[in-house]
Amino acid sequence: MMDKILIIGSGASGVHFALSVLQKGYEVLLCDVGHAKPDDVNPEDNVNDLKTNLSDPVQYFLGQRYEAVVYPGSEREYYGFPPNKSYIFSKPSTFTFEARGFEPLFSFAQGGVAEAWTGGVYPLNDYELQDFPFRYTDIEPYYSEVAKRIGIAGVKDDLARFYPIHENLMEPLRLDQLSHRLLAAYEKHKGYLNKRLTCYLGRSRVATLSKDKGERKECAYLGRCLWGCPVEALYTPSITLKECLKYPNFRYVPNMYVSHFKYNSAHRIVSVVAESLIENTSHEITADKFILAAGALSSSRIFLDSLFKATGEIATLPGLMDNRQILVPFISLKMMGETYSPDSYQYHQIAVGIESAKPEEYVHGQITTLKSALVHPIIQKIPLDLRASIFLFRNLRAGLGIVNVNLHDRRRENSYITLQPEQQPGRSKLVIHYSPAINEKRVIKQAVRKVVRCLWKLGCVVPPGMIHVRPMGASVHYAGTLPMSTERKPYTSSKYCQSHDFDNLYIVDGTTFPFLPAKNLTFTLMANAIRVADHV
Amino acid sequence: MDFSALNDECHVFAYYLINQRPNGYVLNKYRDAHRASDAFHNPDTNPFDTFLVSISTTSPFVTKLVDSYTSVFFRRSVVRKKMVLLLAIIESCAPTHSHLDSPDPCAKTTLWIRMVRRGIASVLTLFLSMVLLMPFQLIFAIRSRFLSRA
Repeated sequence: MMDKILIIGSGASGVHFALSVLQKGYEVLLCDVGHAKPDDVNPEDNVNDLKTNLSDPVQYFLGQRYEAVVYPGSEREYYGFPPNKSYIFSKPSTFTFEARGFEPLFSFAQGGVAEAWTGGVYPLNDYELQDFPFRYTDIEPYYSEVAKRIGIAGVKDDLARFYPIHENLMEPLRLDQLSHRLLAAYEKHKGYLNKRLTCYLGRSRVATLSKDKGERKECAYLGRCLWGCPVEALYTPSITLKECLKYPNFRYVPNMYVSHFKYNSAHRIVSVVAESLIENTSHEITADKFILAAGALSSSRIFLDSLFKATGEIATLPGLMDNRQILVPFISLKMMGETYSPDSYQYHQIAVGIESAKPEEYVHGQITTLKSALVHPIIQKIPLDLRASIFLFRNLRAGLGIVNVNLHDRRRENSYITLQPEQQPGRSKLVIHYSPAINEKRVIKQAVRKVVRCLWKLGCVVPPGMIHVRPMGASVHYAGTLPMSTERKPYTSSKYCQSHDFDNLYIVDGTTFPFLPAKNLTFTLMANAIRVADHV
Repeated sequence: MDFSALNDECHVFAYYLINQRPNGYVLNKYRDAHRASDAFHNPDTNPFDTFLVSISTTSPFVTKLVDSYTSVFFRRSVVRKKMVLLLAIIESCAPTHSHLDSPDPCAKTTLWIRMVRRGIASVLTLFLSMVLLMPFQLIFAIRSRFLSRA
């Protein structure tokens, strides 16, 4: 009889691990808080049709309590968070934390945080994998497998020097007008940009279908990506969860908040303790193998809490990493006075890569041109009266865009996760402490300067005072607290993400990453989860 | 909550922002937002803030002055929040959203000229608003300091 596997978390890594072991015939139980997404509305409508056809469009776009309105002086983000996605970041009441130097986001949703992602999928190359105990050739088949499962649109272009080409890529999506112009300008000034600025432009790789795939439809260019793709062209992990549910050997148990696991004297886990959020009762669930896939912060908390409950010891897990992100808005003056098409793919279609002295410290930027997002957050940031700002915005809208610049991160002792006991016996609070690298300011300055110069060469200007360095934690690319290591040390894991502390525990989320490149890590999380599942 | 004052504000601000009177739906949403949103439930409202709200609906010219002043010197003011709220409502529903979607139908050179003209007008309005409103802000600040000491 096959082992029973218990997976905690239904995010990108959890569901791909689950699907792989289900295909191998294991009995799989997936436990999750699992807040479910609301039903899609009017799947055929584009974003402007929604504004006409919905009975209460303001409630849809701004929320019942108008929570998506971005007021002056609030967070300097350029997008209001869509109310229909608020379920993704809602937390159980029992979950408490304290953070310093870090603004963490936790997801307890079905599909996890990637339900709110923008679909960027970028394989890591050998430079970026040099701290990992495996090479690109070891993970390449799994990248190809993920591409087959989720559908990735991409092409071999100048960015292939940073993102290796794997199998199963679909043809890219239809370009919007501004992205098209930027790429044309890049072709014209390539010599200068490549040699002088070491900047390269090309198509983003995105987990969005450019042709139908099973029940999922190809991108319908409705301009609704931000509010959730109504035809499921943009991949989210809940799609794979639905696929898992078709297997008779799969059981999904939502509304369960896993607090810790119990282990025996031989350091084998025997059960997890979970609280039913419906019945308010505590449950112990047994299995043969246990898989942590709750995201780096939650998985670390479960790990720490398990030690604390068993021994009273408060351990510290150093090495927390996240990508620093800098938002660089720009205006293409050549597009001034032109009309924009709301019927387009809303997220990034092109990307910029900047070489660094050390190849693994490559700087990655996703270029999103403004199409159908709510625009009051941008208008109210213009330092003019609102009437003049609206005039200016309307005439510049077709030429507006934003580069989301991502920087790499390394494990450091002074960025860590630990626990703090609470007054109620046996209860503890998650404590997160993040300290940026000493040279971070210089690195940010250099990267931004290059991006601004690159944009200038492409015919775009960056409005003064509008560059925004996002707080650490905002990218939700958390990693590094129980890293893969070839040495058998406490609080590390093996090449196959098997815990060095507990033999029957595997950690398949970002927790085990020993280095965090500038690229969005979700694709590698999925590929790595399948790699580990192949080994289990 | 004074519904008639909110109706007045909504009418004046909508006309100021997009040259259109609000329809019943926009009016209803504007009022509802004041009830539902946390942004307007601050008991410690600055008296100068209250003053700005009260004068902002007196004439389109004063609305522009107040908007101009708060865009630089008092960005977190209640009156600016109200205008941003209305802007968010306007862009979320038909037919008003279209006002933000299309550029002015004119040649690029004309557009450049209009932009420069608007920019100069905005700077002049800002200067005038400073002359007229800054003394009030100072008076309110001195008065509240005096009252708190007393």
